[in-house]
Formats: sequence, structure tokens, C-alpha cells
Amino acid sequence: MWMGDYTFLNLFGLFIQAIFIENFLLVNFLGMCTYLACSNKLKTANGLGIAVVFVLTISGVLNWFVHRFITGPSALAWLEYLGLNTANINLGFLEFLLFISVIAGFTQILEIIIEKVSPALYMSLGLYLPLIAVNCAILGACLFAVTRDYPFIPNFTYVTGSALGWWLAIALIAAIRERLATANVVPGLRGMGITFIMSGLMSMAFMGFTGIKLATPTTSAETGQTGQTGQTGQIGQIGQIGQIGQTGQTGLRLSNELPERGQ
Amino acid sequence: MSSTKLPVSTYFTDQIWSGNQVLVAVLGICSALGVTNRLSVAITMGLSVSFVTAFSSLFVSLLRKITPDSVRMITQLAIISVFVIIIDQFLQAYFFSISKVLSVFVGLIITNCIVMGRTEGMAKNVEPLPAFLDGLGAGMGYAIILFIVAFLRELFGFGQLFGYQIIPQSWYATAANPDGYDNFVLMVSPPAAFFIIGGLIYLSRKFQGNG
Amino acid sequence: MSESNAATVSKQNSYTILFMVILSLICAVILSTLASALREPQEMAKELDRSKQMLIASRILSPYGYFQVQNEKGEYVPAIAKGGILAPAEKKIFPSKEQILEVYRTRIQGFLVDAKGVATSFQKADIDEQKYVQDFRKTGYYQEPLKLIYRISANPKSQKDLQDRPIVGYVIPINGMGLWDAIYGYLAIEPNGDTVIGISWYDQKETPGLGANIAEPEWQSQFPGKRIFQESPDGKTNFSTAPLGITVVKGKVGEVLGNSPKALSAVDGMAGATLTGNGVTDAYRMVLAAYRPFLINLHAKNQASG
Repeated sequence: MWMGDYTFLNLFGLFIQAIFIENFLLVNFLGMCTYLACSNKLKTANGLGIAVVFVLTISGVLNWFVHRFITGPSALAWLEYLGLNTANINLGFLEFLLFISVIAGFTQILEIIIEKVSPALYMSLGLYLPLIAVNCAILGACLFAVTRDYPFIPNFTYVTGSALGWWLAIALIAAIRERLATANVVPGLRGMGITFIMSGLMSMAFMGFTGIKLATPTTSAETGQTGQTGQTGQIGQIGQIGQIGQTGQTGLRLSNELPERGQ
Repeated sequence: MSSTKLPVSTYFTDQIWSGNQVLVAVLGICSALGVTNRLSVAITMGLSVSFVTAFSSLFVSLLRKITPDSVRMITQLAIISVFVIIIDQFLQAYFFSISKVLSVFVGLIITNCIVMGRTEGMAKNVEPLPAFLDGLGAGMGYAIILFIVAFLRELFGFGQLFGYQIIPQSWYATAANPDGYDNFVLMVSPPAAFFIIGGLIYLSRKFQGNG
Repeated sequence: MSESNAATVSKQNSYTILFMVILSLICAVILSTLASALREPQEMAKELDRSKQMLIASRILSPYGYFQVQNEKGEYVPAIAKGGILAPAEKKIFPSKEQILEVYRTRIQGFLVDAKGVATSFQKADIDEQKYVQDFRKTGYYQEPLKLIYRISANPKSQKDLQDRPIVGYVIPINGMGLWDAIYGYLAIEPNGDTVIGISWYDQKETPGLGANIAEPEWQSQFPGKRIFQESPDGKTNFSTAPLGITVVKGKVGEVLGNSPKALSAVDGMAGATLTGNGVTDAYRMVLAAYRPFLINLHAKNQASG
């Protein structure tokens, strides 16, 4: 439940995967609205990024507990110690409601705490917190983590990595937007239009990470030869790019090492 | 304040074109990028968002006089979540294959900026009927954009519409005919959605700027 | 002054709390009622999905949605279902959910095999089938000491013919890892334990247009007739030692393997989706290895009966 079948090397792989390979903004496209509507300054982006890292990490952890002990399948087993028969109760339909309540509630509490503890921090950060409560990325990361059924520490690694990846992507887009502001763009495309096209190009760049699999736990009988062929294969027939990468186990065998059953 | 009262239906029509949530307010982007691979999925998503926005706006407006100000946002979130869960349960029961494809994106309707934007921006200030029409219009405007994007992506990326082959099989390249047609596979990947929406924004600015 | 202020504040607070409590209660009641009401349709939808996929793998249901049977020449023709029994029909008829489930229950039954290939039933092993199917779906039935497998019974000729029908095939649940996430499917094989009847992939999150093609009927249509035990160059097959599984090659089988016996156990890859193809190959290899003793027994019995 806490660590599952993951080793520390797997965790590191999972971390890298969450930041780059499955970058929340550029690969899963969650969390754009908040940023696009807001501003095009790098400073704002950094503020948003830090706030998201904080909120997502803690909400991700809290929601793991919610899923494990309240809304997951056979999650209410702990109530049996109190003598209640909970075998058939499935509260999965409440999951969305509970998750968003946890996120919104935590954000609200955080805002109050920051306001009391450090007014300076509140000035720079606190204004974003209400925006972040409804950021797709936060609810999205919690839901993705739940569908993949991670144990506790890999879940923590995953949400932290996702948040950091989101921050990285936001900062990159903001930096480019700042430069675009003074560039000579076609009038119809100025502002939103060119931002979209630019984001599309960036996400194509991130597609180059496809196929690198770092996060499978070293458990099943033969994790063998599946993993890291590192090909750009999935871009397919665009100008015959096809399979550029290198087959074989080039240095990314992180999860293929020692069989660690029963650890 | 204007002295002439606009007909209630303008709440609906405004949202479709001049105030279109995706093209003008640039909201609701996340799901517009993620689910527009196939027309069937895009239309399901568009209708779901319309349903959620319309009814959430309606109920937020009904409760607007008795909602304490300090819990305004969480009340809106709760109401929105209830409708999203209703949609999710229905999809799982009656449209199982589509719900498998949509998976977490249905839950993400809760955080869809369009829904919150309408409840916070309009519904809590107006009567129930205008709020309902406004929400419905916003959802429909979003659905129309999703339809256009998905139409282009499925047609050029798969050669199909709604799963039916549109581009004739005989046009495709084979070993015997290597110069034949090939699907534009980039359309199937998310960056294509970015480009198409960017293009649509450009077109809408052009036409709205003149009209 | 401050007293009345404090009073107003606490009155506001208690109103707020009351409001939230009532709102939560109403939401909870609405959702619980809805969830209970829809539970049955949801369960049926899941069961229907699984059953359809197994029927598609066994080629009882075509991937396009209509029933089919084999005529005397062995070709597949459209069929109509009545009471779980299929009869040839003039044109393609799209069945209802209930008809699909009826045919499924008539034709396919699950049982268990152990590591030595000895078959037993859920009742004898005292295991609840529903619970077993649900619990081990993600980790894989092939990893359990008692592994899940399904038998396909022949199409009954009439309602009285329901008992003791010959077995026309077996369906093995396949688990694997694709490029993005786990893939789940079925593999149907003939009673000789070697030849493939058909496959299906019912749960995959691969790249649409590329890896997701494993779920498309066109790619799947290569599998019928392939052999899961690889034939040796001398034309015989050593069932205890031969490689077991279907290989998805990179490119076309004809170009890569030519006429070698390996080609009988290989299919064309998908351009731009090599990793998904590798995932499929590994899935078959790993899962079928667990069923090898059972398949060897099957083949021996099939040879013996001629």
C-alpha cells in the first residue's frame, strides 16, 4: 500500500516521466485556461507555477487517502472493525464531488493561513489560489493517479512530478509569449491565435519523448524486452519520419534490472 | 443601464457567436484539445457540457438569494459536481464504449472554465430563465466548435466520419500503389487541435472585426 | 455595539453552516438515488462489453456487430439468434443487448486450469466467479495458481440439444503493457490448442490512429489461422519446447520472414506503432507461457481423438 512494487529507481523514473514524458500541459493539455486567460508575463507564470506545485502535491496526497478509504472499490473495509457490513457499498460515484471539495477546501484554508502568516507572500501568491482551485490540471492529476492505482509514495512522486512539469511548461510558454509581444505577428493572429500555434509547436517538440518508459515497477515475471527502445515511432507518417530512434537497450533500462519479487 | 430590455433569447444567441466561449473568451480549451479525435466522442462531450452548464446556471440562479457570500464558490462547485456525476453515471450505464474513451474527461467538466465562468459571471446575477439560456448557449457554442475541430481531425486523420469510411479505400497507398493517399496522421495527435483552434480564432476575429 | 456585531456574525455563521449541511444532504440524496437506480444498467453494460469482446474473438459475433456462423464450406455467413441458438440468415441482422448476452451464456463458460494443465470448475475450487474475474483483471489471471480460461461450446441445433455439446474452441484472457498503459484482450484458439480462431482487444489506451489500430477489425483479421506454437524448420512442432505466442513483426511478415515457419506465428506490424506491437507480442508470450501445460494436454487429446 505504501510503496507497492516500486523501488527507488522506479520512483526516479516515474518522477522524470511525470515531468517530461507525460507533461501535464503539453501532452495531456490540462490547465491551459487559467494561464491563457490571465496574463503573458513570466513573473505571473512563476507565481502560478509555485502555487500549483504546492496545492497539487498536498491535494494529491489527501485525495489518495479519500480514494483509498472512502470512494475506491472495497475502500470501506476499515469500517468492518466497527462491526458494520460494508462489503457491498461502493461510493465511487461520490469521487468527483469529494475530490473537488478537498481541493477547494484545502485551497481556501491555505489562503487563510498564508494571509495570516506572511502578508508579503500573500501579496505575491495568494491572489492565484482561488484560480487554482478550478484548474483542470489539479483535478486531472488526482483523477489520473487514481485510475492508475499507485501506492502511496509513487502517487506522491507522480503528483509532485506532474506539478513541476506543469510549472515548467507554463514558464516556457510565458517566456515565449513575452517575446511574441514585441514580434511582428499577422494582425488576425495576434494574442491568442499565435499563442495556440506556438503551443502546438511546443507540444510537437514534447512528442519527441514518446516511447521512453521509465516507470514500470520491477515485478512481473519478465519485464524483459518491452521497455526502452526510445523510438520516435509514434509520429508516424509525417514526412516519413517513421522510426528514427535507436532500438535496443540504450541506457534506459532503469526498470529492467533486478527481479525484486516479494520485497 | 439601458432603458430597452433585450429579449431573453439574446442570452442564448450571444453565446453562440459574438460571445463564443472558446473563440472569444478562450475558455474550455483543455477538453477541446483532448477529446476532439473522433466526432462521436466530441459530440457527446459537447452535449454533456451543454447539459451541465445549462442546469448548473439554472440552479445557481435559483439559489442566488439564499447563498451566503462566503461559501459562494464551493456551492457552485457542489452544484456543478452533482450534474457532472449525473452525466457520468448515465454514460456508464447507456453509452459504455464512449464513456471508456472519455474516462476522466467527464470528471474534468467540473473544472471546465466555461461552466464556472458562466455560473460566476452570469448566473448568480440574473433570473433563472436567462441564466438557463445563457448556460445552454455557452455549452452549444462550445459544442459547435468541438464539432468543427473533430470533423476536420477525424476526416483528415482517419479518413472517416462517425466511424464510417469517407475517403474511399481505393485511394489509399498500398505496396502496389505507393503514390496513393495516406491519412494525415498528425491530425490525430493533440498539436493539430492547437493549430485548428488557432486558425478558427483567426477566422472569427476576421469575421467579427468586419461585422 | 460589539455585542450585536458578534451576534450578527454568529447568526451568519450558523446560517452558513446550516445552508451547507442542507445542500450537502440534498446532493448526497440525489446522487445516491441515481447511483442505486443506475447500478443494474451499469453492471449489464460492463458484462455486455466483455461478452461482446469474447464473442468477437471467437468469431461468433462479427466486429461490425452482427452474428455469424460457419457454413459447410467453412465460410462465415450472417446469422440470426433465437433463444441463444444461431441459424444462418439472408442478411446482416444487428442483435439487441439481451440477445447478445443470451448467445454468450449459451456458448461460453469459464473454468480454471492449474499450473499442470489440469482443469477444474469454479464450483469445485470453491471460488466465486464474479469476484475472481473482478479481482484479478488488472494483475492478470495467468499469474494466479488457478488460471481463468473459457470454453466455446458448439452452436446447439435446438433447445433440446443444450447438454453435452462438443467444444469448438477456448478463449484465453490476455493482459499486457502497451505503450501508454495496460492492454486487455482475448485470444480464441481451436480445440487442437494451436490454431488461432480470432482475437480482440477490449481495453487499450494506445495512440489513436497508430497503436490503437490493434482494436481495429482490419488488423485483427490477420490472426485467424495463425499458429501459437512455432513450427520447427523440419515441419514438425515440438510442443514442450517451441516458442509460444504470436509475434508482431516490424514491417510486413512476407518481407521480414518470407516463407519460414516463423511466418505462421507472426503478423504484420503497424507503421509508427512498433512499441505497441512489441507490447502485444510480449503479452501473448507471457500469458500463453502460463497455459502451456494445458495447451500441450489439449493437443495430445486432440491427436488421440483423431
